[in-house]
Amino acid sequence: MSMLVEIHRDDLASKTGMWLFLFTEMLLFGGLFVVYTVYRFRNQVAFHLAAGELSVVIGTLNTVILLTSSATLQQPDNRKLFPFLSAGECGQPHPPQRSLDSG
Amino acid sequence: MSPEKTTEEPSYLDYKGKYRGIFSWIFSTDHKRIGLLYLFSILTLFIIGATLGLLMKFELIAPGGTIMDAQSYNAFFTLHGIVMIFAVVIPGLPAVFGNFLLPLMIGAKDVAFPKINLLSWYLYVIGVTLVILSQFAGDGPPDTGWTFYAPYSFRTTNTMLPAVFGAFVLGFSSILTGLNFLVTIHRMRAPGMTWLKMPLFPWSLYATGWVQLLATPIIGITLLLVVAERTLKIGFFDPTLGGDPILYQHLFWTYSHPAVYIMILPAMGAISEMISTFSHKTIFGYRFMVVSILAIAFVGYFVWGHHMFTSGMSGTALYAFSLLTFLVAIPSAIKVFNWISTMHKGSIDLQTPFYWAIAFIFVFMIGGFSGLILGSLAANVHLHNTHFVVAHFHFIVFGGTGFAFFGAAHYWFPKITGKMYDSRWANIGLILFFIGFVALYGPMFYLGFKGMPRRYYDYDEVFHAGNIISTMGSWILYSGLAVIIINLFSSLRGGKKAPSDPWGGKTLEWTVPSPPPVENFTETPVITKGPYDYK
Repeated sequence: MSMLVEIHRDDLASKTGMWLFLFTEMLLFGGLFVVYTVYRFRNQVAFHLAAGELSVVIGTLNTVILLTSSATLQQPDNRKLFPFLSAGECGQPHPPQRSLDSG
Repeated sequence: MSPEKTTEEPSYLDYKGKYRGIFSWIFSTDHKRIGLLYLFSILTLFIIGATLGLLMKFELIAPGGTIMDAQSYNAFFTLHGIVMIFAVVIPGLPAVFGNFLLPLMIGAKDVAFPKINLLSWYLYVIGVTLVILSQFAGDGPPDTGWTFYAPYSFRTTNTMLPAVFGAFVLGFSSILTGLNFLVTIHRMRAPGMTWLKMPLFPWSLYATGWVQLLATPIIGITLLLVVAERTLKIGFFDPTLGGDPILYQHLFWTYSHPAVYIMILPAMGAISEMISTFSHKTIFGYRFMVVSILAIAFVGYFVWGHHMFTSGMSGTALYAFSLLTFLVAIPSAIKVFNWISTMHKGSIDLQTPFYWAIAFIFVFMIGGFSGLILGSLAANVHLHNTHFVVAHFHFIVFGGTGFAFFGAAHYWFPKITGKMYDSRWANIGLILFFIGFVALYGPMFYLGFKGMPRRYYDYDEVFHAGNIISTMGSWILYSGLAVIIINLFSSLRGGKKAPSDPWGGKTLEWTVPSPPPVENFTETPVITKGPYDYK
């Protein structure tokens, strides 16, 4: 409703919001890492053997896709590259990835 | 949504935006309308949860099966727990009164991210729908209790996934609300409102926001691990797959104990506002109140182990968790002391919200002291998994958060609706509610102490008398609830028009008309004095 008079825009608020969201991501995956660490420590041999079962091709491909994804997000004008990416900026008056860049 | 400036600002209830009818609510990014969306959703779920509780108490009126069998009773307490914890008390005060009042109390036009605010309500509705769906889908309703303890949650053949995933989605709704409030408080306070000029309800929302943000992701991943374990058979927690059920309990309580502070901190903040307003006196020890809010939020992260004293932990861990649990009592006691001291030599105006605040202090103290009994290691071995625990957390969660919720509803009702309610019926409702509450949960302390376990549909004949009193209490409580809700709703039509400041409050929300205009403040307020300036 704040659109009634003027568009509310606060870049610092967007940046703060993005950092706070990253905290939740850290803690979300923190739980997973705790579980991983406990079992990695308890079953070292099993983890070593299991690593041999993995497909190198799929692993490499996955890494490449993830790195490309991060790289395109870093581009200041990624909205031209991938118009659909802007669908992700929900409630942000300003693309969050760009406000991270400017810091 | 064209900008139209008139001399007379329309109230948020009369404002005509782009959408009409129901869409003017469910597409609105106005924090006040979102607060009311939450209010009606939470109220609906509260009535569902309370009705389940009423039926459970009816089952316990006599030994043996009265109106349901063991399996139905399991399903009833599971749904009652999930609905009441995840969908009612956790979002209760922050999402309803926090959304409505936080911007008003700090002199802002809205929260920092209005669209995320609406998104969090959508997530809430999706989460609740999933939980309700789990009752009807598949192989019978979930029966593990709201804690989804391993290994029950893997061994049970009943539908677990929608309920677990629903709780996960509700967690995200809570995270987004917390994130929004944190940024709002950091960035949008009115000019001159320094941190120590901020009222205590926003302060409590600030501490709550941090807990929501930093604790909720842990339950998120834990519930996802449960989903992975059930669907992909990965052995995280189930011993037969090589997992560790105690690990589940640790992860679960790492969130779920801080969640208790998500429930109680905003309640304490709202009570502080009411006590100060109706004593017409500045809050006693404002800085201590702020420090104790933050201390409760901080220490609350390190006490989760007290839910697991009998689960198998090292002696050192037991002592540490017990000691830390006792530490939480100190800031809580500071708050109770300061509330009482605020009333001392105040000019007390006996209105309905003030009665609710007094009732809150009474039941909160009983709940708090019984928590200390449970926090001591030797007593815990005797009382673990008995009705004593049920009585304790209902005194805190329902007595604390519930009383504060209804107190806040009566305190801010004129501001939210622009109408006054009939205070005679409101007081009758409160008295019934209070008597019913004490009669319902009081005997459970005795029953638990005598050894009646929780979560059974049946009990030994020696526990019969206490259970009859308790069941009768549930009837009185429920009728009090009906009086309160009918009275408030009938006041919407018949109530007198409310002035902008009916109680003589000094915080910013009382400076704007009731109900507030769409943009809250016609001019941005400039703050020069403390929040409770009565001199």
